[in-house]
Amino acid sequence: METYEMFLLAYFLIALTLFVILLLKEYKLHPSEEGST
Amino acid sequence: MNAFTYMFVGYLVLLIAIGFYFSKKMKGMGDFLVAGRKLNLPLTTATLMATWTGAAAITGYAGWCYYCGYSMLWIAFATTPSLIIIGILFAKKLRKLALYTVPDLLKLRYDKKTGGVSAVLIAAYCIGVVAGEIMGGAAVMSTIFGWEFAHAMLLVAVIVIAYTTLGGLWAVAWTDLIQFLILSIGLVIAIPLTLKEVGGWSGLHISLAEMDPAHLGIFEYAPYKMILAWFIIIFASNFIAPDIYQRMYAAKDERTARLAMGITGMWDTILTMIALVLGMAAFVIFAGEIEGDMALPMLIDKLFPGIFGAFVMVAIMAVIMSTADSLLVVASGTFVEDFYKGFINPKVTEEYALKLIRVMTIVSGLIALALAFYFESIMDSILFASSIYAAGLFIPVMSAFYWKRGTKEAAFISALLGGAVTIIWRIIYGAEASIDPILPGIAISIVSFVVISLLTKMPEEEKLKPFESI
Repeated sequence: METYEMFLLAYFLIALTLFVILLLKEYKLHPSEEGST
Repeated sequence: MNAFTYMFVGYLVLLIAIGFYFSKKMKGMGDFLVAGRKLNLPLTTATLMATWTGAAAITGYAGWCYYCGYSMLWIAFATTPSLIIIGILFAKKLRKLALYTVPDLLKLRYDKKTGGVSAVLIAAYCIGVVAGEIMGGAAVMSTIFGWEFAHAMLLVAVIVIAYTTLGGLWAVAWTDLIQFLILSIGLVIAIPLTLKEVGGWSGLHISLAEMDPAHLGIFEYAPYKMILAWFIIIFASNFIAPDIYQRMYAAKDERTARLAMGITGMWDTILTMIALVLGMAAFVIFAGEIEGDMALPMLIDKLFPGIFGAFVMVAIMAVIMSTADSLLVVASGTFVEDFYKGFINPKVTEEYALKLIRVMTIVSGLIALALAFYFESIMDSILFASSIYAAGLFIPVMSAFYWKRGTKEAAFISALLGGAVTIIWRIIYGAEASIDPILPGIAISIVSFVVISLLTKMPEEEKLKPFESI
């Protein structure tokens, strides 16, 4: 694997991991919350 | 290019019509600035994504990838995570606070004086970025029509000012949605056609390796000092970005705010890939012989004849204009809320405030136009504007959420010092300074904030209360 390919892969993995954390935080930690104002 | 002319004129008529429609519905400042806090998930996300995808992200970033290749991915390493982390840490807090602008937050936590300084820094930031967007729009227009760059800048400025003044954030959010759809379709057409032209993904990399192997390296064009400066500028300015805060305040609920931020972060990964591929493909096709800022418009003009090219060009114009309009709303709102209401006439009626915001939208647009004539490149104006803002306000805003000991005296002085040192550093050392102005700017802001906070009286309980419950 070339350096730039690993670099790209790392970038996507970081973004995806953070997005999953965001979703977990929103739905798993507050499952019953319906997004009140 | 007739197809482009017809499509562009049709598109402009649509924008003005939307501005008119929402101008009739507008009842007061809440409608103009935060769309009555009723933006649902698709609208919040679209307006965030479209605002995010401005001239910097499309034309400017592609221009840098054109010059430097993969080294520029470091910028995305800071940008994308910063957006998603805002969703994780701040989106809900901001929606709960339900304010209008960033200075509102500083007034709530510190005092009116700090709100006033922040209004100046925000107006400078927004107007600087709008100047960059006007230049980006003019680059596209002058490529297509072969017009004088100055004439193209005038036209872009007039159009954006017109429909923003009419419709406020409602018009901006709806036009953002339309503009974003046009862009997505345009790019779906552009990417495969471009790759086909350069022999596919592997063909692109073989050509780059032959023409300039440094394009495939990750540090060749990005020394560590530069990477550090990018991380600080991008994280600090995004974490307190007034356009992002405004959309968080305008979301219909807290969940909408957080999810919209996360989706925008994921959209940024796609945008990064698009700019990288198009920028590097332009390098291969033009053999590095054109200006970076012109790489994208010229690539599209060359590769996509007729209706396809027209569509993509209109899409790029659309995102550039949607960023400019959003920031004009922020600049004018900040002025009226924090300067006029705070210092000149606190008892102003809603109706008069709305009139004044419209006048300020026009004035901000005109100042941005003047600056566009002054700045030399898109990225220069945008990054410098972000640096002043971030150096002044990052520390006071973060302390509002995370450090109770931070005092109003510290916030006021550190905001002034951070902004001022950044500007002075740039004036003394110029655009090619070996140390980026953000580094001394933010350093002095941190030191002065901590020292003055510890030397002054602990903030009153009532100032801390709104931030404790979020």
